[in-house]
Amino acid sequence: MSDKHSHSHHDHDHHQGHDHGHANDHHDEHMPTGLNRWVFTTNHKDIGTLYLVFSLIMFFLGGSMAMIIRAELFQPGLQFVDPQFFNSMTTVHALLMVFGAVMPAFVGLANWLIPMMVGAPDMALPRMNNWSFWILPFAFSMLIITLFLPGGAPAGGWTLYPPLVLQTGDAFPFMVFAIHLMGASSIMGSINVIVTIMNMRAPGMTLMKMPLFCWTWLITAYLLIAVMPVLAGAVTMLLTDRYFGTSFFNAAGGGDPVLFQHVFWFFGHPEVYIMILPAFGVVSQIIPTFSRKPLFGYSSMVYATASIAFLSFIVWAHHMFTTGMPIAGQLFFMMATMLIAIPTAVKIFNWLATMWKGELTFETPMLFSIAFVLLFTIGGFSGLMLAIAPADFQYHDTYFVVAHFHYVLVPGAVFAIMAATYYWLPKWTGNMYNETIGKAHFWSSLITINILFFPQHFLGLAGMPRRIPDYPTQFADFNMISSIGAFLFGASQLLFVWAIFSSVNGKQKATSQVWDGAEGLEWTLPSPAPYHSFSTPPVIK
Amino acid sequence: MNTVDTFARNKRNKRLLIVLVLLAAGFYAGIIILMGLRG
Repeated sequence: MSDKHSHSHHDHDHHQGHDHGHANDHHDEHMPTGLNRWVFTTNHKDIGTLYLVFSLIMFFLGGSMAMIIRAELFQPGLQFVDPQFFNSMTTVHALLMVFGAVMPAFVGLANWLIPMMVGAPDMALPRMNNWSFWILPFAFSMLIITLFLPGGAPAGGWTLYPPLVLQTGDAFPFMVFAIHLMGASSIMGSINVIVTIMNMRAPGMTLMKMPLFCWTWLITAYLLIAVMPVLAGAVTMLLTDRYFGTSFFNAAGGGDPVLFQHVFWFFGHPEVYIMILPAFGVVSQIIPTFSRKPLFGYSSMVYATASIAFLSFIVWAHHMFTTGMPIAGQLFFMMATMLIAIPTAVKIFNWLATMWKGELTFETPMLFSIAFVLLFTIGGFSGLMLAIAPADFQYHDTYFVVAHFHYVLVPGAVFAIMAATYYWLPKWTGNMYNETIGKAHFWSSLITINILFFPQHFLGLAGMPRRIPDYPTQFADFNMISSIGAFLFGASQLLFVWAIFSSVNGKQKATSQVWDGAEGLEWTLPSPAPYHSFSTPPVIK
Repeated sequence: MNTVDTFARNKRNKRLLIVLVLLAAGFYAGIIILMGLRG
């Protein structure tokens, strides 16, 4: 659809919506209070807040499981937990962090920000928005109670490979149903993002004028719609294999366990971009603000994002080099994976060029964003190492892989979420956060995250396998360093909560612009942003 | 009529919603059928 075409339609709809909206704006101000406000809300800001709070709770819950893992690995030998429970911890930690912490955090940011950024009064499908959030607490309760079921929580790893995962006890159907619910929630969230962006933009807000956060989320939403059903299909087939006598992945019945890995990673690889593309969007909003320059290479950022999304569909088997694959297959997946470095480098250089000769200041969101650029790149480089098929035979399933994806996800995705929180918090609460606490949170996180994850590269290269509760004494020193880093990083996150409260209960009122270099529609609204963002659509020149 | 109802009556939003739901449902059924046909 051409932009012009979409606009003529769009204007019509918008004005219609506006006329109705105006008459009852006052009506909407009588919002329900207490619990009802949150249970029945259809407001994008309330739902955004629910998602963000839920994500923070899951972050601490998943984090406490990481603390158990690192406590057990503090020294060689079995100290605190039995191996089965250890395996449950690695599995549930991953599921909580991926589906409960990182993804809902970005959906929360999308809810809060996209309507404000495109000049819409709310998300396009507000009732479905409520539903997609409220599914999540049930999904995760179902997953977490498996810890108390006979046979324990799922312990086969978040990748759910059969036949191992089929040995899960009574937790198995709970896990499958929980994953179905998480998937349904994500799909509904992405449909809402797509419909809002395609149909609800203010007059003059062409696609190529949208803030990059909207662009990265639009592309992410399409990725989600394409791959979440594939994960749902994969776990459905596991379920029927176990309970209904099918043999999708059962070799004895003519199936193939490696087939599961193909299906899983066809979901799993785009999934890692689902977790990082919105982070790219966040950083692309923050760096120009604190460089006081427009983003360098806007359109190349859009095309790079789209290229990464496309490539993410044709690289999945790089997770499976060691399953035995024809050499041509190895070469294809190796080369395709390395191609991703090109659009990613375009982004990195664009961020650096944005900062180049800018009037830089280093408030907490900018600090987290710069750390993102540096440390995500470390994760990117170790990803390139893993992409080399012959080298991967040594790295596969070692702590090197653990170091790699934690660099991409923690100082990558999680730091971007924290940067976004500090950046938009004054817009949400109407008050500035305490910059001293924010900076203390940043520096303590930056130092401890490297103590935590950098030594894991060395452990992996020396041959320590992932997902084990015990190890030979040769790995003792680096494990102890890593565990100390983990405990300190975990403790540092209490500062994050403190910083958030410092804004919620803040004394210093935020201006509508908040940051003097900030540009975009959300900064034209007062702080805190009104309950309905743009009841009169703004006109973008 | 409040904002939510106004939105709910928006035909373009509804149409896109249906298309995207069908797309997701198609991927779900498609992958299972494809894997089933494989053997």
